[in-house]
Amino acid sequence: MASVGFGFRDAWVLRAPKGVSVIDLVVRSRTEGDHAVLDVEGEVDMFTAPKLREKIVQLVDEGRYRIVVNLEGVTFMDSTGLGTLVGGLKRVKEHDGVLALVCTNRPVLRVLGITGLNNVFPVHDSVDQAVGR
Amino acid sequence: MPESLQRDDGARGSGDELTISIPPKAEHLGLARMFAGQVARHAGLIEDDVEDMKVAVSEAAGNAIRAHGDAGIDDSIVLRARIERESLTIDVVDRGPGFDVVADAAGDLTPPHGLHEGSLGLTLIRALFPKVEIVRNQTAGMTVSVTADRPPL
Repeated sequence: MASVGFGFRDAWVLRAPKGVSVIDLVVRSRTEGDHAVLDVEGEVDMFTAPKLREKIVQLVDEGRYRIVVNLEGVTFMDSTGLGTLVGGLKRVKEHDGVLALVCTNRPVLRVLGITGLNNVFPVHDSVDQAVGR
Repeated sequence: MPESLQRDDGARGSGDELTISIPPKAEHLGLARMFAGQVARHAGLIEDDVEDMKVAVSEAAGNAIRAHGDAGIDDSIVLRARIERESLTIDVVDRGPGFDVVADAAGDLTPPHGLHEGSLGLTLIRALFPKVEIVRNQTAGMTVSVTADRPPL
């Protein structure tokens, strides 16, 4: 159970309700031409990244090696999320595949830029652009 | 804004310390980010810096939670925010086994495993907040301190 204490003059405690998950990640898959598109919404961190990883692994296991990860709905991403994307890229590369990103939002572009991963992944402004329409 | 931070002469309040204890579970990382974001806004940071602080604290807190898990420690990790006149510092304190930090560690592209040399996590924190300090605690574990400058009045 999480607790918050405010020091200095006043002190009160807030507790997170039991069983309430304050962050979540939704990953939906669809097909656009010969590409598999993963639409990701929410926050990608150490807790939620496995869900994205699982979807990417599933696609590769199904023989889908042209993958677009749409991050437009992502409001937060940390190094675990980046590592998940890198892991996905390595998987598709083993089959001469492609893993492209769709992203125009600052939180994700910032961490991609700082780590230089914006030069590793193709990054597009839209799914249409990513699938070559 | 709390009364303690309001002054008739318009001087910026400082000296507050806020603390949150979080059980070492990854599902609570969102809470850590909420705390960091709200404290950063309260300290007057611009929104871009607020988002950067959330990233840095999430990286540090994630590492702390991982360290507790690896060592089988059930104790909570602690986030402590210190609001000073010119700066905001958020400490992330764990009781794990600790790690060695090499200055100017370069990030690599393999999936990160904590804030060790070459991890993306440390690369991110250092790039966002060059003033970051990472020290071993006297008793156990590490403290990662992230400091942001408050905008001038």
